[in-house]
Amino acid sequence: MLRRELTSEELQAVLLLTPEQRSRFEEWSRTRLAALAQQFDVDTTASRKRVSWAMRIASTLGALALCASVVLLFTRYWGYLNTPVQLAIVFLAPLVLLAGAEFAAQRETTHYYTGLLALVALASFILNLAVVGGIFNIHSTERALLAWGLFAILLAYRYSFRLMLAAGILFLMSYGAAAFTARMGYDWLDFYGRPEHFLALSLLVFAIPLFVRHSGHSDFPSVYRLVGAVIFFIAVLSLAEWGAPSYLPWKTADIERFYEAAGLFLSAGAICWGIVRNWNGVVKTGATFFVIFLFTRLYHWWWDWMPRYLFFAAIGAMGIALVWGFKRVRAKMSRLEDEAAV
Amino acid sequence: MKRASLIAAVTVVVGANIIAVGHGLLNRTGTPDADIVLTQRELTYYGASGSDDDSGVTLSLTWIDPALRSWPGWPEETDSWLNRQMLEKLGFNCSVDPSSADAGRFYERQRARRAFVALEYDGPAWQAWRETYDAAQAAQQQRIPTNSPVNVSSIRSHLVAVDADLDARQLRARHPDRGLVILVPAVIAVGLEPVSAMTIAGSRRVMRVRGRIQEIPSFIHVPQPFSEEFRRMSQRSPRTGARMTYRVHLRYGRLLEPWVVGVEFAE
Repeated sequence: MLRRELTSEELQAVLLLTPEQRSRFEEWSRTRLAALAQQFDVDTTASRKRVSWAMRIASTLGALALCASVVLLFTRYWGYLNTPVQLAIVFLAPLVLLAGAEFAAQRETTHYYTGLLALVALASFILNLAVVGGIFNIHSTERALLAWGLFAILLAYRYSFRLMLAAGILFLMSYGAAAFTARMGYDWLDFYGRPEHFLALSLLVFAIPLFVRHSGHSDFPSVYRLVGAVIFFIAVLSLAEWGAPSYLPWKTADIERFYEAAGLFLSAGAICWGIVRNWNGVVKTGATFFVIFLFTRLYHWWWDWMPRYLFFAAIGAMGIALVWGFKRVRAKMSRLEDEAAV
Repeated sequence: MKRASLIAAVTVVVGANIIAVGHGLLNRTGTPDADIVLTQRELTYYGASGSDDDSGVTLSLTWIDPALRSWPGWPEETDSWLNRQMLEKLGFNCSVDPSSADAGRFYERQRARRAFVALEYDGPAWQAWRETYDAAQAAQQQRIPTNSPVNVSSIRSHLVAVDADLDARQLRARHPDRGLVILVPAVIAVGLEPVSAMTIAGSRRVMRVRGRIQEIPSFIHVPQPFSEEFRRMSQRSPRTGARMTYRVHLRYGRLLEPWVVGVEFAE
């Protein structure tokens, strides 16, 4: 990028390099980029970056397809095997795939195959516990979620795999809600029935990067914040709009109005906080849910009595107003960044 | 230290397997909680799936909840064993008058709870349910005559839910016959129902609290060599698995989890 900028007329008018300086810079940048590409397989051009994204998408889709294939292959033939062989296969599968991921990690710098094998190892571990439970007719329990979550988190930190981290966080959040539900004497599978559990858990997940330093995984805090924010606002939305039961001892309509207002204010707050802390994911999540909460409120107010054309015209006008508002927010962000740079 | 996360991941896999297999083996040691022989009425085999994607053999436990009315002509005054007193014992809050204006919302907000349920096989509860069924069917025949009344004994499960408790040991103490009564974990829900369609107090219906079994773990894995015969018979006459005649020797272990110890097929 710096090399491209140096060729622009505007920059050349400010910073004029002699031919000797230019050739020395070119030489340094070429050597440096080659070293980075050699050591970390980083993308040194925009086109290479686009290809890398395609590789990431392809490896994730390939991993998902392989997961489905492993599960279907096993269920297709497991009935012809005796119990010790069934147990041995499902026990060894995640360990063998983990060994494969480790082998790949030592041989590639950009963990495409490693990520793929790690995801299939997680799917095999899920199949492993499900099959052992089925063979022994074990009553279903929430504890399997804890094992899957821990395994996913450990693989995520070992191979710097963000998708795996998100999966691990979701498993552990589900375990937390399910364990609480079971301790209260209810069916653990009903854990998603009380979104307020997820309100508390998502705040906890959101706060983790504030207390735990991620010096070795600088891209992980944004995953914690994103998963925490998305789950938090989905929980609020389900309480406000989808009639999910609440612990609050109020009438259903009052609970819904409370969470609707909370959703609006908290999503606006998330935008502001995200701007101040320069958290892009939080800003985008806050903006998305702010729009959803606002439009659902307008729907409740206007849909029944307003002519349809007027309703959609009002929504369109509101959209234009929001674009204007977000443009101002963006301008303010740029100003703050400039001031910080000065 | 560099390999700590790898060692931890392997430990999670090995540890989870040791716990799961240990749990399964622990269930099968010692004196079984129940040792019972059930038939194709209680353990339904639905046969191989059309796509043949799953080669495993699984039986589905079916039971009768006498708290449920089988059809609209069922006697309305039948008192349920899963009544208000039983539900309070299981942890439900039944303090609100079921006929009051707030009762619907109050009972609707209560979540289903876990408990242990006793299922009696081919005993007095089944006889009572069958007599009620026959009487209701005779009354139905008088109103709407049909050609062939259904022989309920040959098709309906003879396992009937008779009792529930939060403590499995107390439940077993009340039902000590291990060859007749099995104990299973269940999920029980609470609701309201009218005492009678014809009973009106003022302008409001008289209601009562009644529980229902929402879920009982039903799927029972059939291991080799027993699964071979199921698969063979299913392949011989596909889609007629439910019509096969067999007896399954089932044991429920100390953790109330079942396993198949024998299968006899009748030609």
